[in-house]
Amino acid sequence: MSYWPRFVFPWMLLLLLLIPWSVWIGARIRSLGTFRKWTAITLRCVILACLVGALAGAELAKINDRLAVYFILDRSNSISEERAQAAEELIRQYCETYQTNKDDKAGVIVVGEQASIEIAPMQKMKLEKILSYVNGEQTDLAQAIRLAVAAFPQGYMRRIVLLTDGNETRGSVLEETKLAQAAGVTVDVVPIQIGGTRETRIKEISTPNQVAADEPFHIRVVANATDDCQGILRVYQKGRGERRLLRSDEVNLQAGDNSFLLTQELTKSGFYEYEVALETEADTIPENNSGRSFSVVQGEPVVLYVEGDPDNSAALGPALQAEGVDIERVGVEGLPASMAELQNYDAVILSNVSATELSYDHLQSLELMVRDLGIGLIMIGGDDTFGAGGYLNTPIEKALPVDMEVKDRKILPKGALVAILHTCEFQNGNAWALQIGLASLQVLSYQDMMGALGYLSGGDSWIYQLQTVGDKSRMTALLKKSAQMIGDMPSVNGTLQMAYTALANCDAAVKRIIIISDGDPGGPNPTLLSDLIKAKISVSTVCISPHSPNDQLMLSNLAKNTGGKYYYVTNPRTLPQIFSKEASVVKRGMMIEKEFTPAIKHASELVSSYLDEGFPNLHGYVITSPKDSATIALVSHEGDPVLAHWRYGLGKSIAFTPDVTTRWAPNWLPWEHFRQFWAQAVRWVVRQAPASNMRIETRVAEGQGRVRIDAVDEEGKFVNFLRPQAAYTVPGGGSEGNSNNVELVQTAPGIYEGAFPVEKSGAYMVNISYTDPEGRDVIVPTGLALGYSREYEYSSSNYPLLEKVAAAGVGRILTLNDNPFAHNLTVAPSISPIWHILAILAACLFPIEIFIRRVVLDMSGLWIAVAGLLRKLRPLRQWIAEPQRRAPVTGRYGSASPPPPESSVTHDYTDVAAEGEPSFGAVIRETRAETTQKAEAATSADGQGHSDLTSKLLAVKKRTDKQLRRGKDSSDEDKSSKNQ
Amino acid sequence: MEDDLRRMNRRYFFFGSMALSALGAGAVGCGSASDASTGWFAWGERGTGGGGTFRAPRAIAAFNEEVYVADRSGRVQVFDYDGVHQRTWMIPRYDKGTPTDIGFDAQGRVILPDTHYSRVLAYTTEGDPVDQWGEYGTGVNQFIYPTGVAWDSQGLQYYSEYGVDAERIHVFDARNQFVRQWGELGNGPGQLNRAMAILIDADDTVFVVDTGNSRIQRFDTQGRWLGFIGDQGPDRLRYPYDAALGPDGTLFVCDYGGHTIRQYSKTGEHLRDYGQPGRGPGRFNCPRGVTVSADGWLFVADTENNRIHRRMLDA
Repeated sequence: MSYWPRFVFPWMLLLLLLIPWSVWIGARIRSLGTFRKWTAITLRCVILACLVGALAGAELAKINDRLAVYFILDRSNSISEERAQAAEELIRQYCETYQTNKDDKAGVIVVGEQASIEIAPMQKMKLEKILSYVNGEQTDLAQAIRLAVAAFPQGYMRRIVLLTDGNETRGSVLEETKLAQAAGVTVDVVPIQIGGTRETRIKEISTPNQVAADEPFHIRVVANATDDCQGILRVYQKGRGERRLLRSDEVNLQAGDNSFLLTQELTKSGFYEYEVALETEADTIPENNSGRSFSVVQGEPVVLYVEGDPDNSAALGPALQAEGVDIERVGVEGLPASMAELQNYDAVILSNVSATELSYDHLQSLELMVRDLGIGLIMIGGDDTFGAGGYLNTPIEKALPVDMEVKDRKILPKGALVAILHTCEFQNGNAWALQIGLASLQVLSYQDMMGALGYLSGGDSWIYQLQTVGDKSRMTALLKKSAQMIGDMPSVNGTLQMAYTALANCDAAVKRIIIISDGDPGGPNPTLLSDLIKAKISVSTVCISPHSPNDQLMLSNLAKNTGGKYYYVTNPRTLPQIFSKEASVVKRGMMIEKEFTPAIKHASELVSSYLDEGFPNLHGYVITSPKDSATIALVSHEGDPVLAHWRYGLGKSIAFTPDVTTRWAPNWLPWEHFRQFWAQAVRWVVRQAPASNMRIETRVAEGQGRVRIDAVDEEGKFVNFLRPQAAYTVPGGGSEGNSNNVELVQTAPGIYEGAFPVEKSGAYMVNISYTDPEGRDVIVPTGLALGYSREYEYSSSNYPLLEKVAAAGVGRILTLNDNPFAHNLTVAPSISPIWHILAILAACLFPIEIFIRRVVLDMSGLWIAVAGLLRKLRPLRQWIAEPQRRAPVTGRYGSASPPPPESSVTHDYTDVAAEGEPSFGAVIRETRAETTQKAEAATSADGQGHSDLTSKLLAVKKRTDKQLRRGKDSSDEDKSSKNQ
Repeated sequence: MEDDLRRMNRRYFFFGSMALSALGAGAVGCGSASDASTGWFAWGERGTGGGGTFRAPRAIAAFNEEVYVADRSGRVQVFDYDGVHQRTWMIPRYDKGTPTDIGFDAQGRVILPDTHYSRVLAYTTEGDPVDQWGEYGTGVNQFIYPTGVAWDSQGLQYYSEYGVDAERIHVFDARNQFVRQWGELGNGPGQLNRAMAILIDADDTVFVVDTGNSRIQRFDTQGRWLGFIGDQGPDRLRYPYDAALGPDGTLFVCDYGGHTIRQYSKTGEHLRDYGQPGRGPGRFNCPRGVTVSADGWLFVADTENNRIHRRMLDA
């Protein structure tokens, strides 16, 4: 690195002649002390020099002779391991042989799907084992070049050496090289050779995207081999949740492309994925031996029937099947939670399923499936459903045509719950007390009542009194405050008595107490027990960490005797769920069990056929509130919804608040139209996919899945402003299997396009929905198959591309004998202007120079002030001496203050007498005596005495002054002789 | 002059604050403290280390000029009347629970009803284990949770006990054989709800601390109900856990919920209270044990404050 200054206006430098002139002027100043004078002069020269430099446009030119080289190593899977190692070895050799200049730096970047800096540029670079991990499924050389250009150190000449096979799958390395070259970076290339081995791969597998049920279709497979060989070809089918092997054949492959054809027929509707796998011994890369494709079958709708209480409702399933509806019956555990699996059904029926049995994923997927996938939902009641089943404030409540919260009723059926918390005897018990209190509170609705009791510092006390829940915030706050203070309860009798008294006096329909304890406290007295039983207050008990079976007995007896439930808990994590379950029992007040005749409120298509004959009686239902835009087809004797339905998003849902068992619908089961009614309901709610005139194309391009819709109507005209929506699911299922949205934008008349990221290989389900010109909602299921990465397609290096890259980078194709560290790059010096720095420097120094010349600092005065301050602190007194006043700074023109005593003669006027004259002191004494006499004698004579004294004093002073000036020399001699 | 005044003030302030903080530190940090005005002396602090540290002391008894304390850490510690630690021994198991009472039988052995292990432990006063008997069960000769022990003039052992189907007073002879039992769950006369302690006075009146019903019950040795104590009035008991007989025959009841010791006459008249809620000497937080020595010293096991308090009874 070498620097030199340059000037834009060199002739301005003539002004430097002013400098010696200013020195000469400055030297003539006599009013300053030496130090100050020469400091000021120096500064003045510096300032002048800076100003002149600034005027001349000073610049600093740098030329650096140092080189930084980045080796970009391609570690994608298209390069075999041996060749990759050989490339690494080549880098090592380059560095050993050619990195001789100690200022040169070299670094390594490893590239695959991403680029990563393995070694930042350093002197004497030694490449050990590669530690960076990059995904080898793709090659993104462009990113590597961008990274290198950004990561070069400043002030170096720059070169990139690219070691690759040239088979890139992402980005354009040629474009990036051109950009790098424009930024001054040279790009050299070392080609890595690949291929030359025997290789077989699946080139293509294709199936028709849309297939009709029971219609045969072909699966076409193309396999490519470099040499003749033998192998095994397997075809798998994955659909409706299961994967099976369709065919496994031994095949003879010839060099080149080989096609195979398979005939298939599907009956059930759904999304099917086909996978083909090829196994041969003449193969180097196994990753490209598989392929995927998909077919969507549109057939008869399939309905999933989830039965919450299988023993009691055997009626509906067979009824629907008899009407020809394709039903799959499962219990609650068979309900899938992911959208990918729910896709396989066109409607879901939930009969007497409680929300406490469903996970949050279930609740969310069921809502989304109606809204986004158009799948129908029918919820049938029972004593554990709707509001009484804990569906309040769940996502699925949004999809239903009724609300769980009961409004607009004068006599609100409410429940009352009291929790007795004796939680301090197990670990973190009081923290759990807060959790279970909150869990219970969550299930209750605003008009229910809740109270909580515990043994606090004052004894048995209410944590909060039994009262209406309201907006829950107050109770939550009280819980949080008091839960920590829960203490050891000597006996449950006290709190139980308080709970009983409160509950007996409240007007709730359902009353329950729940106790959590270790069972050690004394139990309830028999009188209290009988009171509870008589008042129909059931007590559920939760036993945790008991000391002995006897403790459990206390709690289980209590539950048994009052009709509550007993829980023995070992893992406290189950506590909140237990409490919310118990709390939801309180919601049983939401049910009405009375015989009534359902009345038709709106003659919708579900009930219009029965207008004349009406419906048979029902014996009970769960109370719900209708939603505003829902159609309430049947109502009860109290006006509550019995049958309600509406559209939600793309799909539809039906709510039937009684059940389909002998409990509440004993007259319905034998009704002649029972089957017909339900089959009609199911058919109404089921997802429909009428034939569509849209041509839908899906493909993979540049790492993204692309969807393109060509929308034409029957006459072949473009359909514009369609606003289609699409959702896709990632292969693999699970939580990833939930649908994600694709944004579709109209890009041309009748053409809509969208893109989404695809990473995993497999078949992606894509559902496209739109409203056709007739106003029907159409859903077109389709998909996208992503096979193996293009990385595995290549059998040879891309030499032409590499040559182009080297040319664009003003570099060459390197061999082992070439020196990547050669300093043969053209370099331009870099210039940076510095005139502004000089100007600022001059401006800063200017006031300092003035200060030095003009300001006199009284250093000793400052020291005295500081010392005085410090001496105020007693301890420092011994360290800091009393400052003495010293000679102030004087200039040539005289003193600022009288000279101090030691350096000059003491002028003692008192007794120095001129010859023959009285001394000063004598005069004073005499005159004083006189004046006092005069003052005593004549007080009115004012000014006289003074004028006498003053004139006398003045005369004496004049004389002695003269005397002293003359006598100074002699007195000096006297003094010096005295001192000896 | 002003300077001098300022200097003096500064000096007073400095020393004054030092003194105050010393006092404060002393008051807070020290284990023992006494309150001369009220006559209470207290020792002990939370811990499971050396003598004088407690973890929820719950059983206390005075014998032979010594005080025995059992706490939740499974230790039985012995102190003299001034709180000077004498010795300690451990009971065999204590993770499920620890004894809630200490008694001394006619042979001078220390008897501990080991409540949650459903058995009785016997030691010498030096802490050497002598005997261990009792098994889990609701039948006769079996225990669920024995809580307190007392002896009548005939030498029979009376145990207070609680549990489902075991709310009773259980009587055994000197050879640990069943003699009789009485009691059942309830809140009527003679019914118990978690009896936590039992005393028998010189006239063979049996006093049972009926914790769950917040009262003391009086029986004769055959189990005939004689009366209630402390269940009426504004100063009624709130979960008493222990009781002791004074030298003058009055009853001292340890009121867990009321944080005080209530003194009653034998007939149930409330005489006075000793101690109040709080933290200093003579102030209790959920006390679970009380005892009175033969020479009139009152000792209280202050459970949540982890201390033992002592006071001479007023005449």
